[in-house]
Amino acid sequence: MDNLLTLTNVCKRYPPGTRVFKNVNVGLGEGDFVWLTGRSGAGKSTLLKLIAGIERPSQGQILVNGRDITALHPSEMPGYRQHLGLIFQDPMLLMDRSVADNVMLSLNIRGGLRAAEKKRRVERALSRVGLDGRGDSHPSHLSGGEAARVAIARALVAGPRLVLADEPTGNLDADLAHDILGLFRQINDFGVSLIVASHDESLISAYPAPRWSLQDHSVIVEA
Amino acid sequence: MLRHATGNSRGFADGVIVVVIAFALALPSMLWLLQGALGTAVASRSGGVVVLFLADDKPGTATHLEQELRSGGQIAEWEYLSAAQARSSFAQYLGIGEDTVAMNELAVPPTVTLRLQAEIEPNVGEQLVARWRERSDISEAWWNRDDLQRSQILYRTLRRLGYLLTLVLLGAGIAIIGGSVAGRMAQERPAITVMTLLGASDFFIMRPYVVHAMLLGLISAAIGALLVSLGAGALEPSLVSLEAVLGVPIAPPRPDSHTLSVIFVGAPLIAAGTTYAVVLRQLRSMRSA
Repeated sequence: MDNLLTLTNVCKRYPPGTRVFKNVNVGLGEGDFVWLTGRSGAGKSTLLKLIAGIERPSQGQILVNGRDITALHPSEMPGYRQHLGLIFQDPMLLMDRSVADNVMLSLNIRGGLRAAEKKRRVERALSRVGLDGRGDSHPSHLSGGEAARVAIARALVAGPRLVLADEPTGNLDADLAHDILGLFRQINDFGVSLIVASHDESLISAYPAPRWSLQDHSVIVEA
Repeated sequence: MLRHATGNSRGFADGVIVVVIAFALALPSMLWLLQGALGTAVASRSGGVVVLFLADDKPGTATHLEQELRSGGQIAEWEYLSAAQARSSFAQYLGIGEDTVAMNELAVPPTVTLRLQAEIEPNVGEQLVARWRERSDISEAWWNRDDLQRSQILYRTLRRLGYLLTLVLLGAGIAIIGGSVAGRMAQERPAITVMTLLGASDFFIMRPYVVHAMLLGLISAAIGALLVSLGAGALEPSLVSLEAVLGVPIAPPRPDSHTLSVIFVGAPLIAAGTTYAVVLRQLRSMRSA
């Protein structure tokens, strides 16, 4: 079966000649879950940014659903990104709107849905992350764990096939981190592929899954 | 969709922009209207005034001359003064109207004051007057263009001033709008970053800015049009004085449909265009950072 995501000979260097990694060759199948691990500064965020098209590799090919995203024109990038779910350590919620409107932002950007349908999807997404009835709340009234859940709902509401999460539990205590990971597992059970970057070994060991380990400028794939 | 903060500072900034743009529209518009009114007046006088001294005081000479000269179609107005009428008029001009002795000593020939048609070119007018000067029934002929030249100088000055003011205020308006949009984008950078990460296109991000700018442009246009109308009314007494100085009738500068179209279409377009350019530039620079 074709991979959903394939990285072939991907290298990333920054202008002064700093090499982040070289010859990365990894693949992710439909419905897969992988941990992206490595010490701080190893390049986990950079690798996720390359897959998300936020940065371009210095060399190599990144195929997503058979399409080489390194060859995409900048004007095509928004369309590509609309089909990804991105989750960051900082939930990055917009403070000038309600929780529901934060989640709806993904659908507004994607467009093409009626208001009633958007509302229904937002309610469903919030329900999936355990925030039923919190749509009208203001982000400033949420706890750290709830804000992280809103960010997850925002990433999922448009129905992406691939979710990239960069240290999503970095700001949360252990219990909340396990809650969030449980949520990711549920999402994965629905057939969504996930790459979750983390350096929290206790969390990783609690949720066994294949691992892409960034070491010495390379990615080591561990089953 | 990106929402703009609606705090007092934002409202104040928008208010300042609206007022500045309204004045940036109103001042040059007033100047252009004034210049247009003066231009019409100048054009109506562009033929200039010709004064003819007739060789004799017989009424038949003037009548015959009028028929002959008017047949050429170059004369717009004709005023004949007999020697006595011309002497009286000249005496009044000299301020000796009451002194009949002094007045009788004035040797003023019968005079025709005529205005050439507006469309007559200056060189054609000069040839015409030179030809009349050679006629036996005309002892002297002058082409008086002083008022015309004064009007033209003022007309040209106003036109230059209009260009200058338009450029300066347009530049200032664009700079203020651009600065305001850039400031707002810097403030909303986190929101823009989130939207970019979620796959928002440039159009999606810039739409609220451009729509907002167009609205500000429209409000400014309405206020600007009101200012032009008020300004036109306030200028009327000054124009009456100017008419007396120049000897040229000047129509009051009323905001016509052309001026209003320029204001109502130009202001939103310039505001939206400037905003579009600034937002696009900021987005590019955010992405390359």
